Amino acid sequence: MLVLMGMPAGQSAAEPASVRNELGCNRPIRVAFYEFGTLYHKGQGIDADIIHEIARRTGCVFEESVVTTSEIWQEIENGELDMTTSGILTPAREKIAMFAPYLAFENMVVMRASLAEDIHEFDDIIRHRDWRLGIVQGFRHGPYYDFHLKAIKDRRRVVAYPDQQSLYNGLVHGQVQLILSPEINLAFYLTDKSALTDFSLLDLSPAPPVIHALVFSRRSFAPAMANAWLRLIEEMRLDGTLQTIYRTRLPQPMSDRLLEF
Amino acid sequence: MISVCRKKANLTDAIAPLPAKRRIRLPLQVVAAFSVIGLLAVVVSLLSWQAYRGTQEVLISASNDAIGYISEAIAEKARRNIEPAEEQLAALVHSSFGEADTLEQRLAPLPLVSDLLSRSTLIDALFVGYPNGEFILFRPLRNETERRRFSITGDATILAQSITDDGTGQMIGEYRLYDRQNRLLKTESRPEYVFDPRMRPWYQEAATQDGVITTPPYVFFTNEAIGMTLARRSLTGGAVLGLDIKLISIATELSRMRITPSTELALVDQQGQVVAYRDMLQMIIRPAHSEIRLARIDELNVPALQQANKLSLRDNQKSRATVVSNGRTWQIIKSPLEVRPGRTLSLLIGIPDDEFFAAARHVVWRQTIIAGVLILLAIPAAWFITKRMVKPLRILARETMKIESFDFSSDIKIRSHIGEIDDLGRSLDRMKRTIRKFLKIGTALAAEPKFKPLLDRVLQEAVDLVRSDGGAIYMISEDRQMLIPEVIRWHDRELFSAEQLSQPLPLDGPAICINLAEALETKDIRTVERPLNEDELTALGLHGFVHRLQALRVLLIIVPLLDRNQAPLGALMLIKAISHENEQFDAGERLLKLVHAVSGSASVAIQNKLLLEAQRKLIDALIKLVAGAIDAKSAYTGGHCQRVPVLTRLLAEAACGAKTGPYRDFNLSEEEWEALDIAAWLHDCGKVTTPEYVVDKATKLETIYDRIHEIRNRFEILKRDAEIDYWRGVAEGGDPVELRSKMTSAQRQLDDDFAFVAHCNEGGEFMEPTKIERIKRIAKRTWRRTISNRLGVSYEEKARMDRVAEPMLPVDEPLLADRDDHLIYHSERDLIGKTNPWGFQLNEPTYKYNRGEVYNLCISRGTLTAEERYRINDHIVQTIVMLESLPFPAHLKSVPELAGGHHEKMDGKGYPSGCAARRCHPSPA
Repeated sequence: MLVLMGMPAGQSAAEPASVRNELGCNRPIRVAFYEFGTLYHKGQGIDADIIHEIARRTGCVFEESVVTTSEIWQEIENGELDMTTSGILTPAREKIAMFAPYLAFENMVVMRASLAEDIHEFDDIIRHRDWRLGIVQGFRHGPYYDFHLKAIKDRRRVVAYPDQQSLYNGLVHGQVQLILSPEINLAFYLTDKSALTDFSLLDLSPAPPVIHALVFSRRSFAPAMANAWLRLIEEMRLDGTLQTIYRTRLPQPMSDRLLEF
Repeated sequence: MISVCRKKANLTDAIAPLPAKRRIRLPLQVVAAFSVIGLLAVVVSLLSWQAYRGTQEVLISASNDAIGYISEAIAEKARRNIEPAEEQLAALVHSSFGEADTLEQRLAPLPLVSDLLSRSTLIDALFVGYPNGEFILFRPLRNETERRRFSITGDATILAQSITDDGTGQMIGEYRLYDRQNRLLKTESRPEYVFDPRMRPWYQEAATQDGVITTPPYVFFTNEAIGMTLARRSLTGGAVLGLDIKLISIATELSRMRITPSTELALVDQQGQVVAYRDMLQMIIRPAHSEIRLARIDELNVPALQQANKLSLRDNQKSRATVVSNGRTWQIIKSPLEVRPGRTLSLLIGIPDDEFFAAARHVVWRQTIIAGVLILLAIPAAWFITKRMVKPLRILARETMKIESFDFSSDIKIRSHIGEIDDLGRSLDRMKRTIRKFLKIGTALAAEPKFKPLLDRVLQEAVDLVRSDGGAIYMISEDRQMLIPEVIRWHDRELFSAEQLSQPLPLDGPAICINLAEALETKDIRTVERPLNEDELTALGLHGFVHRLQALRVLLIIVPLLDRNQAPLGALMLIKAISHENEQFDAGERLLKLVHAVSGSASVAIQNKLLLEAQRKLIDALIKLVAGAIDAKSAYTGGHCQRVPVLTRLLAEAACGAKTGPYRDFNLSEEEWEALDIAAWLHDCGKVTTPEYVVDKATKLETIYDRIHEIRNRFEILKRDAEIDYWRGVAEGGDPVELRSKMTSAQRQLDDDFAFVAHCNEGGEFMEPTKIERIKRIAKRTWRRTISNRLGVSYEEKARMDRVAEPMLPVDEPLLADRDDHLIYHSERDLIGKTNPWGFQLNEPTYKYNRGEVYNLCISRGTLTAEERYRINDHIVQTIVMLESLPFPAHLKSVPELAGGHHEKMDGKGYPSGCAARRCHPSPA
């Protein structure tokens, strides 16, 4: 486990202890990442950058770990984990956690370009009964895709992979004809740049981008603390910190679209 | 008494002609024309007034509708404001707002809130208050003004105001600004923003009850907008959600709905606060040291609305009144307006009358102008039309005056397009013709002297009137059992004798007799139209005529003839034979009435004629009665009075028949014959005044009885005296023989003398002077009377005797005496005198009667004294006097002269007038 210490110099040094109290970080905060390409991969990514920036600003200490998504929410609920990143808000999750949104993107359908010509809506995909769809186990894809996935009666058509890398491998290797993945991860996992032209990215969802937030376990934080975390994230957003982080990890305008919420 | 006098006065008034009053008389044309124009003016005025009132009512009604519409529109507007907000609130209570305990959760519905606020521009804010005093409010920033109000620059469209607990109980006030895409633009810490929702009425009210609550309208603190708050407890009860909705749109709606330019409208709440008014600035009061608030109605300075607010609402219905404010009359209305259950506002309206009724006044003014033009046009039109209308009326008036003057000579030829006038003209013409006809008939009937021709005339006129084929008049018999045909006419020219054609009809007979009897019984006209059988035709005498006309049936019009007492005199029957050619013949009600009227006049004429005939017969009978009585008075003249008329007629007829001589041109009319006949019968009627003993005086001493008997008794007394003298002489010793001889001689002489007197009394011989001397010598002998002759006599005789004193008894009286009481003087009425109105030339004797015994016995010839002869001759004078005193009709005026001239002589030596033939009536009785 990586322990990220807040930097005593600069801005963070100016933050009084009262702020940390407000944030509930007068103790090390157990934060968990999960593999999600651009957002987090092997200690790098947007989520890691944000946590690092918070640590820098507030002096909060984070005990970082990488956990699968399915484990994260269990731990959040059990209080084994204080915080996580890129969490999607659902009513069920609201009961166990509090949120501070910091980016938003939407999942898209990635499939071979040769198959994508006649695909205009998700029902067109469903009609191809021989196609299989790949997803990451435990991921939420936003209401649009989640509902359509439930609609596929033949569950064998949905193939769940443990992580994004496995997912893209399955696509590349033809185990599935299409996968659900955000735009931001396409270039991340299709490392062979020539392959990028073989695949198409289809935005079939009419829904707005799915907001991703920092997640705070209700077992670890009071609502007032969550409010303070929200104010901090808002501040980072308004002062351009978030945008800077995103631009370092993604090309424009893809990076700017992450703040369109 | 007073009432009697009054009645008399009234009666007098009724009878007496009304005193001439000075009345304004105007020609009908003027009256009619001005009446029409006046009426038109009145009608137009009334219509204008009615139109004005109607327009007023319509306007009031329209204003009521408008008020209803405005009320409904405002209420609808309010409802449209409130109800969506209520619905949105109802949806929001199901949102996560109620359970949101973090800012993130409270801000998370921003897209939803943003969408809601962008869709409903009336929502001024959406907010949630939490039991721990936290609060979040979303406010749309729709324009720069609102952004400036919150000192916000940029493109912010949503302001999220939040109050959160920092975990230590310290509340943090913050503003967050979002752009149109709900992207966070700015966060501001607002330490000055202190707000505890739990202190607000909406929170307190909504937290304790279910459903939506509303606050009274108020000025929003944040933006000074006027609105109201709707609040509702969240579903879980953890929070209270609220919406501020602006009522500015109601004010806009209100100002848009002004009925007239100066109409004032305001919406007030139950506390009299102005919720909506055209001028927002006037609605908001900004006191120096207290919160901004809504103006009260009396602070608007609109008196009409102030007074409208004072109106009381009955049964939650609108109230209306008229008031005067600042010299202007206003219609003020207060109408309730329930914006939602339990929240009622009042719509106040003030409409100035001058604007409100401007349309009505305009209508009236326009109608007045049109009416004026119409009246101006109507004047010559009315004048012309009434002139046309009045012209025939004027002619009719002249014709009526002619009728008033009994001028029925000309016909009335008035024809008008006005039905009534035309009818009047025709009726008047018919009336004139009818009266003329009626008068003509009446005149004709009156002029007809004889009965039968009269009946025929009546029948002829009736037949003419009805245009019947014929008719008949039946008179009822004396025993009233039969109808006797008097005249029958057929086809106008033919007049038949009733006896030849028809027999008397018994009233109780069959068939047609029943119809006749019914008409007489009901005293009304009866019409019978049916075929007559042979017996009926024969009975009516029409058998041949009806058959010749080939009549299908016969129309009989039976008109009863009634006398003045409505007793039947007879019946007039008109007969019309109905054949194929005249099957539609109808006598007509009007003609029947005319026939009825004519029959009435005819009945009167007939009755008059009958009465005249009866009177004539009665007079004849009376005359003959008088003549018979006179004849019966004296057996010596028996039949004289009945023979003279016969002789007179013979003489007169001879005179009339004379072709030469003085009587060749002599002739007598029917009336003169009648006069001559009456005069002949009455020529001696004066004899009723001549004492019977004078007319029939058979002896000289006869008066009521023959006084010879009284004288004979005197002779008897003297003879008894002679016998008494004998016996007295014998008793005294005289010579019986001598005495007897003397007695016998004296008695013989007395017998001779009495015989002589008795002979003279008979009057059969001329009284020579020697006889007169012997009478006088006999008269000188006396006889003794020992009893008063004035005892037991009549009053008149005693009066005559008392003219001389009664001598002492015994008295020797002459055997024949001419005493004073034998003289009877004339009374005043007996004297006629020399100059009398009749011109009688009479030598009246000195005495009326002289009953002297010697005087009467010495009558030279006959038995009558001069006085008695005069009395007999006096009968003709009495005849004339009596007849002159009778009221003879004009045609009999000559009767006294004719009767009184029967003792005149051609040489003028007759009496009593002694007129010569040329002066006397040529035919005295």
